[in-house]
Amino acid sequence: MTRLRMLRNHTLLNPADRCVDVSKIKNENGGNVLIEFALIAPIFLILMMNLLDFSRLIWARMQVDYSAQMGARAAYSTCSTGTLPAKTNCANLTTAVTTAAQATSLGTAVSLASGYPSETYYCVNGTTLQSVGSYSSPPSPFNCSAAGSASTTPGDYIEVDVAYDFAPIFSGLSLASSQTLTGNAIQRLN
Amino acid sequence: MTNTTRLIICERGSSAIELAISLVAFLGMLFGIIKMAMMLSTMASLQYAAETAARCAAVAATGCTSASSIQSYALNHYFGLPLDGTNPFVYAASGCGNTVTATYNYSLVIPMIGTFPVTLSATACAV
Repeated sequence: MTRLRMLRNHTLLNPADRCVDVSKIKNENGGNVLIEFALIAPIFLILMMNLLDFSRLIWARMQVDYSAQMGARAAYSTCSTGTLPAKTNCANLTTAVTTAAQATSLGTAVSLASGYPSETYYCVNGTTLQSVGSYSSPPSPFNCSAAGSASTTPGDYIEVDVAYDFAPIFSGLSLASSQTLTGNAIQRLN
Repeated sequence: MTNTTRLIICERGSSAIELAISLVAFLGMLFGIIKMAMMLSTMASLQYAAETAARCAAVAATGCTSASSIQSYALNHYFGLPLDGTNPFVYAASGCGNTVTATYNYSLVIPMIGTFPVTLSATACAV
């Protein structure tokens, strides 16, 4: 009990004028609500900051995925007819993929991962796709005999990997830390 | 003892007053969260509509053959906060092929902290 409160409740005032009964001082709870709120408010605020940063993180992840998909789709519309394998015969491949990947709301902050777009030949083997060679070393003869089906032509797949550096607004306070987000998309060209 | 002195000394009802003060701050935060959520949902909606319209333009679907039809197609796929009567979506045959962009001026009001004008923008390109 503070001196002030003792003074208020005990010494100077006529008991009839006191509004706080001395016997109730033990149960005195003035100030509790404010203190409780002061304790909760920072937790609440940090929760809000996390909410905002996680929303932005999820948003960025979706955009990075979309960016990879659009890159792969650009490869298909630019290079699918008569210019395969695209890595050697389609001069505009990298430019088209990069332009499309950087045309989302994240803009040019999205970058194409090094070595991408990559091009691989796949064949269906049972229920899975089996790699049968890359664009620079295609299967010879050009069929799916490696996957057990010599009568099938291998599929020409382009793969796009993109990366984006995410930075939280409330660095240090939010659990959504600075990180590199990656997106991946595969598109068949033939 | 005067009423003024009583008012200063008396502690009866102080919890209620403190609750009132805390409640204002608490509700301020709550409405701030609501306003922020409305902003995020509008942002997501703008992006979705732009992506859908860009895709529609890329495949040259019926109803997406001219710039104005693509813009109204985007507007039809927008489900965010009401607009001021103008179409925020703009189509251009640029970028990777078919670019749809949108901007929306949102006023983020956080009670007791302030009003922040935020320009929401979305870009989508499909080919």
